[in-house]
Amino acid sequence: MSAPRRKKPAPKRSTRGNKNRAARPQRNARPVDVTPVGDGTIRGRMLVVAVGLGALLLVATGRAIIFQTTDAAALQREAARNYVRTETLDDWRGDITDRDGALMAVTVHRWAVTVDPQQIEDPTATAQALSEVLGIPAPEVHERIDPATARPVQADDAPDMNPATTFARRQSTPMVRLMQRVWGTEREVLDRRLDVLEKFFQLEQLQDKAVFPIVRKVAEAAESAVTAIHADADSLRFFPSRGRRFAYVAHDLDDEAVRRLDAAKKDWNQRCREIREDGKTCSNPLAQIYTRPEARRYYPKRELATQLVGLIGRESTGLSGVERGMEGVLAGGQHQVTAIKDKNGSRIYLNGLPDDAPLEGPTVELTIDEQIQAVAEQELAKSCLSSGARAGYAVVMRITTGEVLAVANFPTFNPNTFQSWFNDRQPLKDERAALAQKRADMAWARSWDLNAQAFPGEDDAVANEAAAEVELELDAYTEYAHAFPNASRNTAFLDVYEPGSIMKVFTVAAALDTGVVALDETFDLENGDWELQDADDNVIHDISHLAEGTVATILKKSSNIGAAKIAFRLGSETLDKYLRAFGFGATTHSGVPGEAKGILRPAAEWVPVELANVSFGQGMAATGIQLVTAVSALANGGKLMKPMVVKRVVDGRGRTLVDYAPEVVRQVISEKTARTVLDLMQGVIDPDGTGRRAYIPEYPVAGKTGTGQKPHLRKRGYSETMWVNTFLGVAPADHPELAIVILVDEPTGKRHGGGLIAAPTFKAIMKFALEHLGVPSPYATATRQAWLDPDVLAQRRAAEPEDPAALDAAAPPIDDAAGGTVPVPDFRGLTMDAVRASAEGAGLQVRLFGTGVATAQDTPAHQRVDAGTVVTVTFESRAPGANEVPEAAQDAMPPLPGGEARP
Amino acid sequence: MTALTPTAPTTAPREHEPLSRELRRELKKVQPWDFPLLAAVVLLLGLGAVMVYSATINEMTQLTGDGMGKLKTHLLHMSVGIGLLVFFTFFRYERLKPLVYPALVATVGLLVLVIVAGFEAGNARRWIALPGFNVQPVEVAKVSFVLFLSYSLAKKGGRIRQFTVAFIPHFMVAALLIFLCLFQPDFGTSVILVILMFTMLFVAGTRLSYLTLFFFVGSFLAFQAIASNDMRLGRVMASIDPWAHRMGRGFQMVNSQIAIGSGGVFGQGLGYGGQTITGFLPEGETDFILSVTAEQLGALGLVFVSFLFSMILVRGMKIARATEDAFGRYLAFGLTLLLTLQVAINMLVAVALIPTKGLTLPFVSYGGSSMLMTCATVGILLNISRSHGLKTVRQYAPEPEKPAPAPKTRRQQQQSRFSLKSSKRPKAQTLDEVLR
Repeated sequence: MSAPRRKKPAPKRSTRGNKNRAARPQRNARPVDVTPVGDGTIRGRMLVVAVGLGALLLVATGRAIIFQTTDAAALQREAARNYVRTETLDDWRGDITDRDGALMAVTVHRWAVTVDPQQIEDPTATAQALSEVLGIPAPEVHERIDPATARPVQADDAPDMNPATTFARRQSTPMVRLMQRVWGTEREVLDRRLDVLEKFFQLEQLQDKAVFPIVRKVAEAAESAVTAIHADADSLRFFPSRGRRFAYVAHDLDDEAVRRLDAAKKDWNQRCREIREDGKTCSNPLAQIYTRPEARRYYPKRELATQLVGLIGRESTGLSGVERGMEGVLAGGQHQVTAIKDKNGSRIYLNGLPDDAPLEGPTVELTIDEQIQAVAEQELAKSCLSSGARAGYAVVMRITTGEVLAVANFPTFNPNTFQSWFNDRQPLKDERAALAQKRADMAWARSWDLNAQAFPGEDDAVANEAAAEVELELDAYTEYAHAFPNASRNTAFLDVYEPGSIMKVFTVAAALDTGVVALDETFDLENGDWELQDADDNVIHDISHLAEGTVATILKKSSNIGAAKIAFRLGSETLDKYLRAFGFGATTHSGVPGEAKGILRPAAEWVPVELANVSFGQGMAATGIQLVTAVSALANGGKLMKPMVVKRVVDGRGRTLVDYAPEVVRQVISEKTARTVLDLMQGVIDPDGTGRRAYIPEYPVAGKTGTGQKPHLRKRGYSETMWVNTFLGVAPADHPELAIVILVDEPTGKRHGGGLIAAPTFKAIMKFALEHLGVPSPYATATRQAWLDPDVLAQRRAAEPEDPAALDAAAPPIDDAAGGTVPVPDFRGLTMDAVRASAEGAGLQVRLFGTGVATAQDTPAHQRVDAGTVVTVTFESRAPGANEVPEAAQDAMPPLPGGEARP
Repeated sequence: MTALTPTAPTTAPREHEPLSRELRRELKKVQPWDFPLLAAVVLLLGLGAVMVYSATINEMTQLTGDGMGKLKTHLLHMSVGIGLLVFFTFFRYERLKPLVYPALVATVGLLVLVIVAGFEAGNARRWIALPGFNVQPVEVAKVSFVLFLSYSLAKKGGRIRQFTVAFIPHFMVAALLIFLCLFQPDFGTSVILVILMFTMLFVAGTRLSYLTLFFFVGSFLAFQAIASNDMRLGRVMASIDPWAHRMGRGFQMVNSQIAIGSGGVFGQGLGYGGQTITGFLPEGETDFILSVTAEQLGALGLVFVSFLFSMILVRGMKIARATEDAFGRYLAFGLTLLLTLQVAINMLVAVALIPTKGLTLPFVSYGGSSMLMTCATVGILLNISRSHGLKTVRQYAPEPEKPAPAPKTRRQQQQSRFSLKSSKRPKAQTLDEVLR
């Protein structure tokens, strides 16, 4: 560096050089005699060196300044390319709570492990190291991190999947499918080749005979290619992900696992350093493994209202329920964040978090009441399990506002382990897909005219035989799948049922509102069989073989003939108008995505028998939310409310963003009619009504039972064995507060019916809900337990049926005449604490056996015994055993006087 | 020694009868040390601490959780270095003469030790691990080589014109050191040693023809050395067009350029250097601390740093030129050369004009051995400057009763100065008289 500078001054120094050279003869003399180098020379040369060094400094500084001034803009762009990243960040998904703020769905921060497969040097070692840390089998990890095979972890990679399905999926990549089709057995070669080629190349002309030889050649070429490379068709894989730079290794890891991974990484670093010091090469197998935070949805209440709350998918978008319906709110916004990223990809915020950093999305507050929901689910499950039902729902609605307080669906599932539940259903889905594929193939095969040449004379027979086979399989599948209802489905909102007799309420309401019938009018009920005299000679049957009855009787005994006669008097147009006004045949706009609108054909298309059918809930179908909304309208003075599922939206700082107000849709019937219908519905709960098991001592109940027929699965017409038991009611009847609809789908017991199976469920839920909400009993409260038993009430009702308020006035003091006897409460289904409290309230002693829920008592409920009598109550564990179910179903209600009556 | 401790000269005359005006004026010129040099060094040390901190905070926080980790070590080095600086300021440089050969032997010993027992980092074996401290022997080698050259050149005087006298002993020592350095391998230090030797020979008055000869021979050998080694060749090629090797060998140069350029005129602000904190600028706290400074403080900061180093160059050369004593003069020159050469090379590397060398920026960079040795260097320089300040005073001081013996020959004069016992006492007495 410094050499060139030294050359420069050489000529200047030439004089001195010459001087020195003149002294050359003395070169070999002793050093003492040598003339010292002159001070001037030394200083001069020092100056030269100093100037040279200074010049170097100047050059360096000058070049740096050029960088910083003229080149600055370009270099700053380069710098930005290095480390400035603009990214879009999503808000954390908002929470879902019940009406009191209890969390029902929350977002938790979890970790995913990712990898850049291109940077993995030794996949085997990395897979081994990773599998030790994460506890995933090494071959599986290997597949994900191998640059040749890596692909993102998908749901169907879950280890606990059906092996057959796994195999099928692995084979399903296009290349393998092609190879395998080509590989087919001799008999199928022709069909398969054409099938493959037609599907893949989408060539219409392939069906033309002219190109047939070409097609054959192509297919044979593919086949020989497979043979030539000695490929095993089973092991062939199509690698669409070759060259992928990113793949997931694992999802949903907790902090502990990440800590373990980091520790392992450091450990390997240390080990490698030691190995390298020994002179060997070593690369950290975990060096290219990264972790990234991810949001996972967690449902703290597990099954509670899960069908309403819904689920989200892998990309944090709502799939169903409120999660999907309120997606726009819950997902929050997206933020463009300009961040500095360091070499390892971690973000650096130089000035702290930016103002637009991702926040938590707004919280959605449901109208659901956690406790009522829990009780509703518990009671519904009890009812469905004991009756052996396939499915069921219960919807609780607050009448004055239209708020849905509970939506219970049966069966249910734990959304936190949704994946395993989903996987369990996978074979079912696969089967369905395979069947559909088969049918499509069959249709295509039949349309293909080459068959005629391939199998002359017998093509039709062969095809028909095959088609029939497929149809049989489909039938078998349909029946099989029917036994496994989709537990993730919000049946109450999404599925329609023919509701059965509960529709009579609305028929009667329409009739009374238009004034075509009077309350005291007597209808001829035809002793239970009424021939319609129409084209098909339809006959309408009643289970109660009554000769005649008023409107009250028709409801109380649930007479189909009566309802039909009322409907005929109304006319189809009017009935249709009223039913639509009640909200049937259209969605209620509750906001639950995918809500069904039910089936109600236009009145103009009705044949006479259809009018009769609709009047008692056949030939039309409705959802649970429609039914409960409609009955709420009855109880709400005829005002139909819009059902509400979401109460309000609250942002992260607790401010209310949206507060949904109750909304009156329309006045369906007059207030007076509504009141009258409610009074009539109270009669159903009377001891001789079909709904007597819905009787609640503390509150007057108005309701209606229903037992609907279900259409046959495979044939036209109604099934003889499949029933839907329903109950629909409101309470307290004088100032209606809550409306509940219960539906139990296909109870398998010998004895069933809305009054037997749905009504007790209604009673339990309604009683709890009213007490929970603190609705005061209209009766005198202090002593009601002592005298309000069914017998007394029936007598009082008979004496003064119209005015329940009068009962209050007439309420006698404690019935001393009864000699200090008290009725035994029904302990069954209560917990031990509740039994103790109940017995104490009734003035009885109890002996308790076992743990769990009360299942039996030695003194029957409602029987009068002396105060202080000891009642033995047996408890059993809450989980219902298989063998106990039918027994419980049989014992669901104590025998009542008046014989068996069916709604 | 008490006599030599610096006392404030301005307060001294008050106690005694007034000195002549001339003497008083001259006395004011006398400084206990070269203040501009010291100021430049202190400013650079302070700046260095700030820059080391801002260059390492992110990395250290990520690695150990303690962002100040490297800063603490740096400050420790710095305080030991300042101790050395103060020590050498008051340690008469003449007394280094008997230490020259022991130092050279110790250096060779260290260089051998590093080959035997050193530990490796980045393809080179450069450090000896001591408990709590890693020694880099080449830093010691550079200083002791300068010491040796100064001593030797001063001793040889005019004989330096002779080829054998000028080259053979120095060349042999240099060859030994370079040989040991190349074992590590440390090419950069070898180059510095060669440049040191030839520059000092040049200054001492060697014939230019010999130097020219060596220049050509040396260039050929250097070319061979570069062309024979892939790494060096690659570095040279990359330095010619670093942007073409952006992701390979040119990575450091390109990112250094980007760092400097993105600083602009006013810089991005302390602690805000994007290239630095994101780790795109490698070795930010050692080799490329100039780029860190330029990125954060901009052209203004860079000019300031450059000015400070120029100040060191100017003051160092001034000291060398002002020193009458041959050893002192060569020593001052050699040490200034050593410092400034490292600065120049480091800066040229940072602006991507020459290939990466692995040399630190004196006073600023992180690195214990370098810090200690450069501080000691400055201490010696200050001592030399002080000594001729004292000499000035001595010149104007009233004649002592016992006049200093007039030297017969220059050589004898030198010898008498070198012999401590003969010269120290009388001078001390003189000085005492002057100052009291």
